[in-house]
Amino acid sequence: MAMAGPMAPFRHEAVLYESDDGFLDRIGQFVREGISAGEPTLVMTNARKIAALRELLGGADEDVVEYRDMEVAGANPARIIPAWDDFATRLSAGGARRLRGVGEPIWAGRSAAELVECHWHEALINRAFANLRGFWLVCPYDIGTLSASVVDDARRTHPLTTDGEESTADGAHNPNGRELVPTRPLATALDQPQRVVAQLRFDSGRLADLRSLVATEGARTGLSAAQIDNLVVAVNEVATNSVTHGGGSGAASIWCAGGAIVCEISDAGTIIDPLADRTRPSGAPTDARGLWTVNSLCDLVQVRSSSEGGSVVRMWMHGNAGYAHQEEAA
Amino acid sequence: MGDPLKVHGVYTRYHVWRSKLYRGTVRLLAAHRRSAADDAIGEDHIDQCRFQYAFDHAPVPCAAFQSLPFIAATSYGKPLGTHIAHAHLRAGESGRNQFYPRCVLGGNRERLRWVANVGPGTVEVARSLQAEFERVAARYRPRLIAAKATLLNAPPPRRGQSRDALAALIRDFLVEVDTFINRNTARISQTGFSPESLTAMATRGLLEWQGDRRLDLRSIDQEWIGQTPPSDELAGSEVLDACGLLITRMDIPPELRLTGQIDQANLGALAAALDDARPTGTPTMIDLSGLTFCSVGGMRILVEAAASGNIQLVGIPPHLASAFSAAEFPAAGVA
Repeated sequence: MAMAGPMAPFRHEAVLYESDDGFLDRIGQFVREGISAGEPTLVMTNARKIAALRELLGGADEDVVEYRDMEVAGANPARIIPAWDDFATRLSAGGARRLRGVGEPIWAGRSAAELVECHWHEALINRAFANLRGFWLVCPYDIGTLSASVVDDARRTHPLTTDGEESTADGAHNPNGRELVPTRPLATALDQPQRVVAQLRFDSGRLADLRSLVATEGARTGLSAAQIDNLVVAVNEVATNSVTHGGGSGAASIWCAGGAIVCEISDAGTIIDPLADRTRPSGAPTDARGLWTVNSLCDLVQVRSSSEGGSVVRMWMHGNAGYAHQEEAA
Repeated sequence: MGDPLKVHGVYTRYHVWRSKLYRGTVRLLAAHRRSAADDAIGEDHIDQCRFQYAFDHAPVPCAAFQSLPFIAATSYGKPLGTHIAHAHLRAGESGRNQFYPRCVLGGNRERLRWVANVGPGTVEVARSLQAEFERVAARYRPRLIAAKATLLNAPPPRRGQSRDALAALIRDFLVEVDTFINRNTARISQTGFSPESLTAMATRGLLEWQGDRRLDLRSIDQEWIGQTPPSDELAGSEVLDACGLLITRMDIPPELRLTGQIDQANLGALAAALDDARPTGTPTMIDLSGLTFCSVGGMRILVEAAASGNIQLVGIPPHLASAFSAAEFPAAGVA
């Protein structure tokens, strides 16, 4: 019986599937096993698959299985680890010793920048939950719609990959296992922007100028009023970090990419903890919560840092669909 | 009430056009709003606008700046030109028969409260829409004014021809206006208009203008621009101006009113003001409704002050609500 004996270490497993039937077949079985063992389970995938899965389970999931729409809760991949963390913390406090999760962070509609962050997220999962014994997280990958390179990356970020009946431990693909628990992936370079529309060097006296620049450019990109207000708070937060911890000043660049506005703040500081932006602040108001807040206000946040190159934080906000034409002809 | 703003007088101290306009009788047209705001402000309102810059270039240092076309014309109906001016301008009287455009928002505090009331993001969306619409309208506005002036100055036998020319121009312009509105329905809705009502307003306004003897063309978004600025002068209060944040202190009942922006530059001043407020016996209300911006560090100071007791936070503005909840502070004393 699984409950006896020492609890199994954290298990992070990629499951390759094809088509909705393939998903229901594999994931349905995984969730059913959890239900019959009385192991609380959280399923994070899109709304359509959640509905299909619930229909398949036919009420057996009551009280044991929770669901969250990944396209909402995990639209920004940096919000997914906090979601698992919340689930694990809450259920462990309630006495659960074994937990199951189904998380599908990558789907065919993800943009290139989102994909980069999704793989980064998958790698960070290994670090974030390394000590959480009894947690079994399965990440379904739809090989019917995803490109081969995406699936290859998934094999590298998961210690265990199941394809059909065959399971492959990470050793076969990744002899050193280095990528599985990232140490310095924060130093990976980001793509250079195509055409920067605004730049500003700032110090503590120019934060207000930076905020109005972001608001103006946000409006020109077609952001809604609420998105502008959120982006301004986010950019100000990162720029304040530059002023207080990143050498007293920084540089801001703004550009458009695929209907989104991107605001980049770079400074001379170094961010050491790769989980810094996804660690929930504890109850005390004095806890650092800048990057945490930024992640929940923006559609996508990319953090890069190295002791040689300083830090770069890119914040993405998606504008109105169909607004790309407003990019000025000037 | 239906008349446009007509100012007959000598411009004596209007910095924007001092060099551009003739001395002489002119009409100040178009940058006109009629609303409850105008009546509320009254004739004794003193213009305190500190922002002296050429509106045509509008680098927007004023928090409440909104561009609106401003047309000056001679009293004979000859247009002198269109300028981009602050939407909140109206005519002020500086002496006997002397007028100048002044800002109805008055001082910095009224400006900040107006922005906080509307929401800074909404102001930016409206600014952006106005700038884009101006690019469309700029092609038509001078032609419309010229056509109207021709009609007004034409001898009766030639009026029919001029009238037809003006009508045709208005029809073309309305098509452009309609296209613009349809292309931007989502953003227009955010500024508090329904696109349908805006189309109807533009059509009605232009058709009325076509038939009357006015030369000026009123803007189609005056209702929004005219939203009443919250004007509550506080008697016996003490105001501290700390790097973009106005801290107004009232003793009975104990209250701190925060207006403007909280960021790294004034965290110290804010913390000091909150410290001073704490020792009183009755709880101090901290009114946040005038905040145009608050950094997470500012939120932290406010929440900490509330958690340590005797301080109650009220009136978190809607545009800061999602940032407040995203920061996930423990709920304490936040109303």
